[in-house]
Amino acid sequence: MKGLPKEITAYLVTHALDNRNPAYLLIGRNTVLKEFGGDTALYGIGGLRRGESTLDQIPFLEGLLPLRQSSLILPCVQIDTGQKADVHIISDGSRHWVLLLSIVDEEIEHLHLLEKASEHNTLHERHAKILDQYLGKELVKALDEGQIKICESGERRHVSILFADIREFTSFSEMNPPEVVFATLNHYLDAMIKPLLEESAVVDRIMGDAVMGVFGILTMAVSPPHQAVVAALKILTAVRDMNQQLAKTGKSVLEVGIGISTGPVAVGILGSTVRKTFSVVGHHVNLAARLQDYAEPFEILVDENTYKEIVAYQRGFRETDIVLKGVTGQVKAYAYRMQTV
Amino acid sequence: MLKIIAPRLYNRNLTRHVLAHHLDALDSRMLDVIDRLSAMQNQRRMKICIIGASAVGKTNIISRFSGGSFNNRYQTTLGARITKVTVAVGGRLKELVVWDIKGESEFYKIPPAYLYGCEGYVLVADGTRSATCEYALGLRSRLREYLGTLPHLLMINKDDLSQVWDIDKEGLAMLRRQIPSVYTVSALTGGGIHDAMDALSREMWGAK
Repeated sequence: MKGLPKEITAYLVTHALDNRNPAYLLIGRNTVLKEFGGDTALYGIGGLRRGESTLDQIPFLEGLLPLRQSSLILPCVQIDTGQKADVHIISDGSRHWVLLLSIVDEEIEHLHLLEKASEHNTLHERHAKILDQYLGKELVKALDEGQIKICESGERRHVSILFADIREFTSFSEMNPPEVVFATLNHYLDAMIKPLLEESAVVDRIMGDAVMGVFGILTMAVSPPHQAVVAALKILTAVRDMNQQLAKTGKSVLEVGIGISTGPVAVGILGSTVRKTFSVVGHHVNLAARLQDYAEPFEILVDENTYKEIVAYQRGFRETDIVLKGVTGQVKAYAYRMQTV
Repeated sequence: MLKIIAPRLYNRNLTRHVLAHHLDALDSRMLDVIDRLSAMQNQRRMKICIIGASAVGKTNIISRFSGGSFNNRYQTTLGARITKVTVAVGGRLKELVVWDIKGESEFYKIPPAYLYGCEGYVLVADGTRSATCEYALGLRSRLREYLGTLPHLLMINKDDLSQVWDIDKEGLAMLRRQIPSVYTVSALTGGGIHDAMDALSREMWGAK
């Protein structure tokens, strides 16, 4: 090595080969194995025969020989014998040298670190997907791009709240094995969440067998009560259709009740710096939840504020006075009942 | 070819001479193609690469293909892992030397050296992560630049979780418009993997 004393060169060579267990192959024309040496057995390629095809003896070199360039480095290759090696191929035209070197610990550590980084990426991707699914792509995009801003300390907004709940699910879950319970729950929740997202709701909460959607956070041309009622009708239709299919196959069917309330609520971000959640608090949240409790299967119960703003759908609703738990006095509500047969 | 050349030539002898020359050239090209086809069909072993985004299930697919089982625990591939698998193509036994290459991510790009000498490739994506399909399309463009046009296909893994896929029918149709061979497979059940690999092997060895 130019300009270096032989002691230094020798030291560098020794240092570079330390724990690398080199093994080599010399391959001639027609990929015939001419020579080999070093620690071939360590790489699981013992018992080599000179004068015979290298590729038949070491199939992992298929495609690599003859090399059409002067050298090729293949880092960290786990060969079919289970051993890991850095593989170097050097060509002088008619002959090829194959050099196998053990992987150094630092390299494995480096690759593990890369993998950790990749895992974090995948996790991030999954979280984004969950957010997409449950908060809706529109909201995530709008929040990311700063198109909508929700004041962390809270602000008052005029929204419609929808609660949808699967009736008798608790007794269903007690009578069926867990895998059936969760598969059924997923089917029904899917039928309930899709219409909410289609109508631009923010799906704020999934509480076991119930979901809550908030309309009016994402600005749309249609009024929040209108969006909420359309979503409610879509939910009942989706559940009715699904029940008809399930009944044909002899499976148990479940029913859904829905409550909607409209009015001013406090909207804000709750939680720590690590995990923040969107939150809605106020009388109309409680009212929507109580209306949903009171709703019969396949019934939508809406409050007066909602009813006033859904002129196109008013004919389908009938007036009813009800006393709701946790809400003072009698409440005027309007009910729509979907025919299921 | 005759119709194109003949009207342009005035001298009949010259026409004959030029035609003979063209036919010779054509013969030689056809013989060359036949030779290459025959060499390819007689070739016993070929290298293929399995590539895709990180954690899409490439290693489990290869494990299934080579007769192994599904490993429920995610095991990362460091660099490239090589497995030899025997396949029957047109009634003959052939060998695929399969390079299962560590999945790409923001932090890791496939070293082009791994692809050297490969004669076909399998792109793998995860049906529950639509971004991995887009990634596969991007990889395909890079591979075509590096390797030219080679037999290849796209496997969309996790068919057993089809109810939670985030690729809908439209998305699948769009992928099929871009990649002619798209297979939905499941490394968990093994479904679809052998059909896909059989089709790729037949294409690589030019068999019907």
